[in-house]
Amino acid sequence: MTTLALRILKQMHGPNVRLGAVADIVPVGTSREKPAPAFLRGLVLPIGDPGGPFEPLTVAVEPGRYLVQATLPSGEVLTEEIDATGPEMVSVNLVSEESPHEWLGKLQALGGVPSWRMRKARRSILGVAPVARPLDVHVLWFEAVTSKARINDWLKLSSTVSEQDLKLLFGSLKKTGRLKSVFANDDYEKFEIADIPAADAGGIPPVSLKALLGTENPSGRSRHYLALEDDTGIRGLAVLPLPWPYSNQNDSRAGQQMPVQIVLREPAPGSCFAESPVQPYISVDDPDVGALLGFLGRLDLQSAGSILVQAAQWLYEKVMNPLAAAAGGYILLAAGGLRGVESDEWKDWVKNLANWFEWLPDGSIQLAWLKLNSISPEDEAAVTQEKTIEAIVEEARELLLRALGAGVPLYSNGVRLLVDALTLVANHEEYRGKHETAEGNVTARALMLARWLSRRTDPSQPFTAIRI
Amino acid sequence: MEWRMTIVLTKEKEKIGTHVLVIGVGRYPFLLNGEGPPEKQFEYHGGMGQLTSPPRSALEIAQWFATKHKHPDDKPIRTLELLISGTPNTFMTSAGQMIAEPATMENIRKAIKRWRDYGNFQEQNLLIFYFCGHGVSTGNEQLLLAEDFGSDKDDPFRHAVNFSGLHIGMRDCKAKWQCYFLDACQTVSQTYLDQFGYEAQGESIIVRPVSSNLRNTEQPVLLACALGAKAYGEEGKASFFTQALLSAFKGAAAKDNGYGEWEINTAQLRGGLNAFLERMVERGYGKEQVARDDKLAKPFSLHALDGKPLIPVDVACGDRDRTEEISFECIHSGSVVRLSPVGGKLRIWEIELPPGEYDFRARHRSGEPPPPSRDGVTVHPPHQLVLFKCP
Repeated sequence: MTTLALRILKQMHGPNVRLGAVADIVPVGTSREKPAPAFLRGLVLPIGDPGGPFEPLTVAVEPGRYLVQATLPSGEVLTEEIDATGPEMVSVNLVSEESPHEWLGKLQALGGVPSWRMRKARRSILGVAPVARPLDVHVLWFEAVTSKARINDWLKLSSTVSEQDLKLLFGSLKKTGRLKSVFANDDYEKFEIADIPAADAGGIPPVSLKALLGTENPSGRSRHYLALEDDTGIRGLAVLPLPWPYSNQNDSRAGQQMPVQIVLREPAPGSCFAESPVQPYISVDDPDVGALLGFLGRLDLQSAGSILVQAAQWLYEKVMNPLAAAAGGYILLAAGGLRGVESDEWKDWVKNLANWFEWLPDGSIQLAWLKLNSISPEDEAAVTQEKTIEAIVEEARELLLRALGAGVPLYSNGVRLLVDALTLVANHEEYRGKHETAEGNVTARALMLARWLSRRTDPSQPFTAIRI
Repeated sequence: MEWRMTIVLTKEKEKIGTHVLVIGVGRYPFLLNGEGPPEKQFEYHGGMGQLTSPPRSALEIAQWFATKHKHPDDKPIRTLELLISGTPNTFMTSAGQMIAEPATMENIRKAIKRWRDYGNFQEQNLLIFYFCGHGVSTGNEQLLLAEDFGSDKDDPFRHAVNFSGLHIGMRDCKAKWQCYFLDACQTVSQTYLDQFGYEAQGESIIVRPVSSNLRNTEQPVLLACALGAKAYGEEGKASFFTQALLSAFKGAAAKDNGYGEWEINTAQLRGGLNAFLERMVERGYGKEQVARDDKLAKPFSLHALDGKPLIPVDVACGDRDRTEEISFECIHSGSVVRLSPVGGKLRIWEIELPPGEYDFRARHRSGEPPPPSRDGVTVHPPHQLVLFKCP
């Protein structure tokens, strides 16, 4: 056997990404007559700075020629044909494209900003000179408590949706801090909290934003938002994934708060942020979860599926980091569980995520989706089928209303799933003639509110960012 | 002989197979510069007018499915339906020339219901939905505009398909494998949000109760561009997205199944599509257009290639403006297999190659010392960029 040592090289300007890119190793020159040695699919490679030491992933292969193809969360595909016929270890260092700035390296690999090449091509075509320009927005950090009672009242009483109603989902925002720009290059800006107390900022790199902890309130955990504000008021809100502790128990950093990165970038023309001078992009600097979030943002289940075991682990360890657990839940939900594992234990973990962390809408949404997708042909064939199915739909409906009561989903995929699940319930009620009952009216209003939120959500980001 | 009809092809439709519905809308009589009566023009057109790409795009896609599609698990085309508003709209079949029915809301509604019914024949069926025309996107929701959009000023969206609603309604269809291609602008229309608010939602067409089919269905959606961007095309040609899709089917989205046989699956498609769309940016066609998925879905096979894939390869100087000073050659197994054309303002030399290892050489046309050659370049789907450091 020959050993391959595989890794992705990228200017990172910060910690490496342990679970970074997803790679296949395919033998070259095979045919039906010449059977291939075993394929290696879905290997997870680290991404790291070429200047610093970091461990490659090592795998043993039968001697031969192989094609190594790795997909980064950004969608970039790196390919190299290698000769592994000898007994010695073969180092495979795949080099990622250059990013617009070194400090954007990691974010570009994870899909937050385009590569330097694409940006340059676009700029040369449009004739736009890369110039730094002053921003006329303020970036604020808010803490908020969503009022379930107020949302429930609205669902029972209101017949239309307005901007004011959307703000219901955010609850009462309490300004926590104003952010100051750390970097400003061309059309990118990076922020940190300006007025964070020194004691809280200790030990955190200067470009990071760290959660102020201990802000729990009697009704549950408070949520954190970033707001873009100009002379006319708040123009955009983005959910901040705070607090985000590192959950890898085998690492000395376990339990340590991971920095959240905020980058403001030029909005795509016509996007929901088009009328703002900038668009926020939120990411979390977690060496294990960062790539999964990138794949989730791109809705690349094939690649994300390679991190299924880790996703299940985050879901299992939800108490450690419920926000990361929710990301794992979305992947497992779409993949239909772990490959080659018959056990449905993961469904219990989703249930626990929903029930133990009611303040996090994403768990309730996932459990509702799971329930709606649980109806079997046996349920339909049973004598009591109508009763069984109605009970399942009702449980899902209650969970979806609970999710709305908890406010804006952390993940944009949650917004999408919330609308889809409520649509299924509303369609079902309409089909069964229940849509004109009091319950049917509440479902219709919940769907109206969810769609209102969905229409303002940027679907290209993992975390929910909303134009106001 | 010439027929005006929707159904282009139907063959043993109750057996396991592939059912394709293709819709191309270029003519919008009630939108900007439309041929409808002036007094009936839709005031809130939002700049949307007549399109030349969708009819051609729809024809090319339909033609591809009718003549080239081959499913690796033997799911032959059982039905192919085509709706086109605008010209060209004639499709050649073995029985003669056919004129596609226009893509009015009524025709779209009927065709979608038929297509769903075909899907319901077999659980292992593959359904393909393709739409090219105007689209309005608001966040996660997409509305696809039929030919008669705007004809009812009081309720314009009764002539639009609420794609998100259709997509969720189709989860109740028995066909496990469903793939959707939306070649439409994903432009957010503040005009519509302001003017029509929540009512701007279109018709879902399929509204079904919750059933056991939900848990079986895989429904990937590929959108022509990122939210807010506009889908682009050249006048009278198939749209960039459609060209990209055809390029992806040719090889840019191919994957080796382990026996030297190449297949196209839904997960590889985005990479293949974007390789082509990036070319468009490099060629100078303005704003970046990126294909993206709209749903998390398990990948599945769509097509099996007969031979080796053809992979887009772009060769250029790092500084693209220097490329025209250089001539390139591509060498495989010791022989020159491609030579760059002489003359012209070449920014990028675009070729297609089968997978393998290639050497690339560059020579200054003026006789200056050449930049270092690029040997042992691995060409593999989705795309290969070969850049030279031109002095």
